[in-house]
This record gives sequence, C-alpha cells and structure tokens, in this order.
Amino acid sequence: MKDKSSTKLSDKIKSCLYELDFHEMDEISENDSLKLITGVQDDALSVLMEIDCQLKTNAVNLRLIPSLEFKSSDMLAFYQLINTLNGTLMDIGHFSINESDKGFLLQTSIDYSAGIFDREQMIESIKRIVQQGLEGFKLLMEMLNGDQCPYQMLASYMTEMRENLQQDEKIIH
Amino acid sequence: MDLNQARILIAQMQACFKEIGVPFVNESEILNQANCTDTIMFRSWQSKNDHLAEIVTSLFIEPNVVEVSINYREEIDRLNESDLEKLFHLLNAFNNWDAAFYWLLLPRDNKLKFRWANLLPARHFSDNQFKSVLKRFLNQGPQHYSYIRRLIYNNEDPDRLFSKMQAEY
Repeated sequence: MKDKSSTKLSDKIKSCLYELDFHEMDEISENDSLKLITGVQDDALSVLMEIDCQLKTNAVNLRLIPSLEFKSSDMLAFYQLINTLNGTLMDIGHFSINESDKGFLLQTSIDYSAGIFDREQMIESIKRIVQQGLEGFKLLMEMLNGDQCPYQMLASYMTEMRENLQQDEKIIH
Repeated sequence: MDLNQARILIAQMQACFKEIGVPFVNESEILNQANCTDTIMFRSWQSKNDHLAEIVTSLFIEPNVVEVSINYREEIDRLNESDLEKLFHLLNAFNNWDAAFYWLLLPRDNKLKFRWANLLPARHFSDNQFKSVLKRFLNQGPQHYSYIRRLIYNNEDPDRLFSKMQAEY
C-alpha cells in the first residue's frame, strides 16, 4: 500500500515531469520508497531517469542511468576520469561507476524533511541534471569509442563549454 | 538572486551552523572576477575522531547553487597505483551508494573533498531543511573518512570496509 505522504510528493513530482514534457512513466512502490521511472532520448543515447521518493528520509533522489557500458579492465583510468569529470562539473550532481554492470550513473538528491516542496527548485534540478547527464554521458561515450586521449577530450570539452558560456554571457549583456 | 539576497541567505546559513554547534571562522566574497562566478563563502572547522577538517560553505550567486564541503588533508601523492586504485574503488562505492553527498580526490592539492551541492529554493530558504542536510553531511563525512584512513594506513580491503560502513545503517 502506498504511503499518503509519498503519494502526495510523487504527485507533485509527476506534475513537474509533465511540465517538462515527460508524459510516460512507470511507478514502482517499494518498502521505503516510491520510484517514478521515465526515459530521456537523445540522438545517440537513451537514458533512464529514476526519481526515487524516500519515505524514511524524505529525500528525493534523481538518478540518470545511460545505456552505456564499458569493457576496459583499466579501472584506475575510469576512476580518474570520473573524478576529473566531477571535479570539473562541480554542480548539483555527481557521476559514479556501477561496477556490477559496468555502467555509469549521475545522481543528486533534494531534501524535503522540513515538508516544504519547492516546485521551481524541483523543475530546475531535473532540467539541470538531465542536461549535465546528456553532456557528461556523451563525452564518456566519445571517450569509450574514440581513439583520442580521454584527458585531451575532456580538456577540449571544457574549453568548448567555457566558450559557449562566454558567448551566452555576451548575448545576455 | 542578487547580492543582497545572497548576503541574507549566507547569514541564515551561518546561524544554522551556530545552532548545531559548528563554529564559523571567516567570511569572504569573490565578486566581479573574470572567469569566476560571484561567490560568498564562509569557513568553519570540525574536529572529530582526532581529525581536524576545514568546512567551506559557498553560495554561487548566478547559478543559484549552495555548496558545503569538508576538506581533509591526506598525502595522496605517496600512494602507489595499486593503492590509489583501491582508494578510488572505495570512494566510488560511497559515491554510488549516496545520491546526496560525494567524495572527490584532489591529488595535486593532497586533499580529499566531501561535497554536497543543491540548487537554492526559488521561494523560501528553510532553516530546518538546511540543518537536516547539514547534520547528516557533517556526520557522514567523518564516518566515511575513518574508513578511508583504514584503507590508506591499514591497507584494509575496500569492499569489506564498504560493507562495514553499510552495516552501520
């Protein structure tokens, strides 16, 4: 049976997802959580988005899991890459490696223990995490499939991002 | 958010630190710098399990992000590749397990950073919400760090350490 508070919270999150044009989603109820699962489709990537409403802690965990798999046995290189990506990104989410299925994960969490739901914060957080996820996972995909040095790719990606940012600022000003 | 709103918010955050018994040391502002977003930050410290750590709370004005981090000094550069991989393995396990907080290794600075960041609420900053996250963050950081030290100094197995940490919950 679903807990009332989780149902309420999940309804609010569903409404945020509808506003962001996510209309199809699955709902999975577990002991201490209620999960909303939907997908993000991009040109080359399909990403699973899981929004997990935790009943015990009143936290909402946003997770993005891409359809990406790595085969390399050089785990140190992957750890360093993810660490560099997290250190460079420094925003609201963090990447990690799921070693059991050789996949990646981007996640963040929003605390609602005080019972105050901020719709705009949730919508903006979903938008940000999706954008970061798509950019980060695409970069990882290029690194996995390309023959260029991963660090060089990361460096050129950061330069490109900085240039885009500066251009955006020029447009704003 | 404008600068005045940010200053009010940072004062509210400092009050939260005070309420939960964590002192704050100094406040600084980084404004109008090239290639750097306007930021207000304050430093505090935590002494737990005989380890002193610096805590930095930053409010990034334009992206509307609040960040709290605990910085631990550790001689990472003395680790060989195999030990470094084990350390990353444990940190990755922590980072996979928790959606809210994560560990970063800064080898050049010989630092380990435990970090939390969220978008600021658009309408109302809740002291209780911030304190709830802060308490959990300030407990979890030192707890994880004690396992990290067991790996670095006692050469304990990262998977076993992670299982022990999970068993505490």
